[in-house]
Order: sequence, then structure tokens, then C-alpha cells
Amino acid sequence: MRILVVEDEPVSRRMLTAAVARMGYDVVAAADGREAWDVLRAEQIGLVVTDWMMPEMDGLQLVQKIRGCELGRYVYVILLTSRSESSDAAEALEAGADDFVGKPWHRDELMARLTAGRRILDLQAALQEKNLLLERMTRVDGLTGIGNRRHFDEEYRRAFELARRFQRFLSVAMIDIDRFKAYNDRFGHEAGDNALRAVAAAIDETVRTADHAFRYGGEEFSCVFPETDASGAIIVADRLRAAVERLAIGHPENLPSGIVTISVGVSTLQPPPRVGAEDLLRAADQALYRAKNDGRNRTVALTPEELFAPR
Amino acid sequence: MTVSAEVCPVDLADGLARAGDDREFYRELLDLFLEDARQRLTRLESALSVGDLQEVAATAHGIKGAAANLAALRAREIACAIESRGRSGDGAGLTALAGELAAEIERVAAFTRSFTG
Repeated sequence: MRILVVEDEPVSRRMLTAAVARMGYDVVAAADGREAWDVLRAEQIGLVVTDWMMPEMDGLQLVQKIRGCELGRYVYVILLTSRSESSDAAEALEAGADDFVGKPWHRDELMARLTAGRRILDLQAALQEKNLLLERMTRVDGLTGIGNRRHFDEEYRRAFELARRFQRFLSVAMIDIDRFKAYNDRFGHEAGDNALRAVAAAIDETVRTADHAFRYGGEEFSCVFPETDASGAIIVADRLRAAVERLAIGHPENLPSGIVTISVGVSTLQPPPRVGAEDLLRAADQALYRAKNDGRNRTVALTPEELFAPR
Repeated sequence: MTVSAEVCPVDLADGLARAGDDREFYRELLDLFLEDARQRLTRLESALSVGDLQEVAATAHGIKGAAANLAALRAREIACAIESRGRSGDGAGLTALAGELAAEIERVAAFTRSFTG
């Protein structure tokens, strides 16, 4: 862990720096609050030990500045206070310091305070990591490992907003596994789950890097294709269909192929945009419905305007 | 510790303990202290001559902290007295105290010369 020592008086600075280094920490020193702030912005500092009274920016102002700004990480701050003034401690904590050490400080006490600080920072880091994991879990479909419906909603909304604002093409695909209920009925839910996983993986591997594939629900998937016009979207959709065919999962109920196939409905937002996000999605859904009616294992594209634009 | 007519300007046992019982490091700190304290003393005296008591207090504060770290007890005491008087705006006797502090710092300097790291 890297520790920043802030102290304007050179003897104390040297002693603190040496003491902290001897405890096995990586140390950086600054002579006042302003210098300290520059170091904090430039380096990954976990913990700050700062003197109170300093020229330019004092310790209290430094703490307030650290707490007032987003550094993207929690910085643990220990303020050095004068033992004689007991109200100092309260003021230090109120300003946002995590702990305080009376001056003149003693090595053993300082070491214990640093250890306590490190413990808090470690807990903080572990918590942050868990939060990130949970956050990721709320966006990932448990069965297939690709993005879930919630993730799709966010991604689609963002992509739509960008396309609308910058007048770009945006395509969206709705995908459904053909006669999946019959597959489940015949082979059981475990086999059904395996098929879902395999199809999801095939779709996810086949979409281009900038595209995103999601499990929309049940046996339905969805894809967002930014910067893609209708003909581009149809090409990608047919590639997805081919990828699923290549899996060659036996599905006797799904004739004429006898293997697991998908139907794809595609819709494209064309600049200048004349429909909303919901209409674009509904058009893709309509296209999927038509692909099913036209015999399955195919891609159908519909422009949202012909369905939803005010006449 | 050598027996002397005067009390040693530092509590050597305490000072050394603060320096991790590293004599060489303690010597280095004493040198740092002297260099810094002399500069601050000059600032303190000029602040005193223009009656800037806030600045007097601030410079004395720095000397106080450093002296405390080295266990230079008398120097710390005098600096502390100057700081509190400066802060409360009580100029009386400050010139005398500043003289005392200068003398005490020179005693620390003499001690430092005799102290081998």
C-alpha cells in the first residue's frame, strides 16, 4: 500500500517518512496540502498521514478536499493533531478524517493506526469487489452467461439515444428458437437448458465485436447492432442462423430440417429518426412474427416507419 | 550521557528512541532540525520586528514540532511559549523569548557537534 506523508516541517517529514518506510510501506512525501493534492491526483495513494497546520492548504482543508472530490477510490486519512487541544480530534473527524494521532507521535501507536487503516481499506476493497460482482450478476443471465433482459434494456436505450442524437443507423434483432416447446416436451428441461446455452453461445460468438447479444427471456434472444443499416443487419442475422444450424442439435419436431433453428426479426432505425425506441423494438417483434408465419428458420426485416409512422 | 554542568539540550534516550535507536539517523535529524530552525528563527525575528504576531506563531509552531520530535525539550518549551503568545496577540516578552530560543538552538548545535552518529 502506498502512503502519502504530508508535513511542512522537514524533521517531522523525514521522521515520518522513515518510520512509515521502515514499517514496510511504500511512502511518498509532500511539504504542504497543495503539493499533496497534486500527488493524490497523480498516484494511487491508499492512505494519507497529514499534519494539521501547514502553509498554503492545511490538513483540515486537505481532508475536506479529498472528501469533496471523487478520486474514484476511498482514501483513508489520518490527521496529526496536537495532544493539548482535545477539540482538535472532534474537528478532525468531523472534517472527514478517519483517525487522528497526537503529536508528537509514537512509532508503535502510528504503526497500530496504519494497520487499522489498512484493515479498513482492505475491507473497503473487498466490499467494492463484491458490489461489482453483484452489479455484474444483475446484468448477466444465469443460465446462458450472456447479458439478460435488464442489460438489454440498458444497452438498447443507450444505443438508441446515441443513434438518435448523432443521426446514425441502428438495427435491432429479435430471435426465437423454432418450436422450442416441442423440443422441451420431447427431450426434457435439462436438454432444453443445454440447447439454450448452446444457441446463446453460438449467437454471442457470431455477432461482431461492437454488437451485443442478450437473452430476452424464455427461448428468445435479442441483439443490438449499432451503426448498422437494414442490409447489414440481415447479413449478420443470417450469419446467426447459419451458426445455430451448424450446431446440428437434433430436433425431429422441427421439420423440414430436423435440427434446432432460429427465426430472426430485424428492424432498423434510419436517420433522420421518425420513431421511438419502443416502436423500433415492436417492429422487430412484428418481423419475428412474420418470419415464424412464413415458415421459420429465416430472417425477416421490417422498417418501423411502414408500421408505426403517423400517417 | 556525559556529565555536564548544564542539562543536556535533548533527552538523548527519548530522542534516540524516536529515531528508532539509530544514532546515525538521529544525527541526520539533528542536522535537518538545525538547518530548518535557523531559517525559521530568521523569519521569526523579522516577523517580530514588523509586529506580525500570526507569522511569529506559525514559525514558532514549526520549531516546536521539530524540537518535540527530537526530544529537544527546552527548545520545544520556548517555541511553545512563543507560539501561544503570538497566537493570543501578546507581544510582551517575545523578543526575550526569541533570544532564548536562538541560544537554545545553538546549544543543540553544540550538542550535535559533539554527538557522533
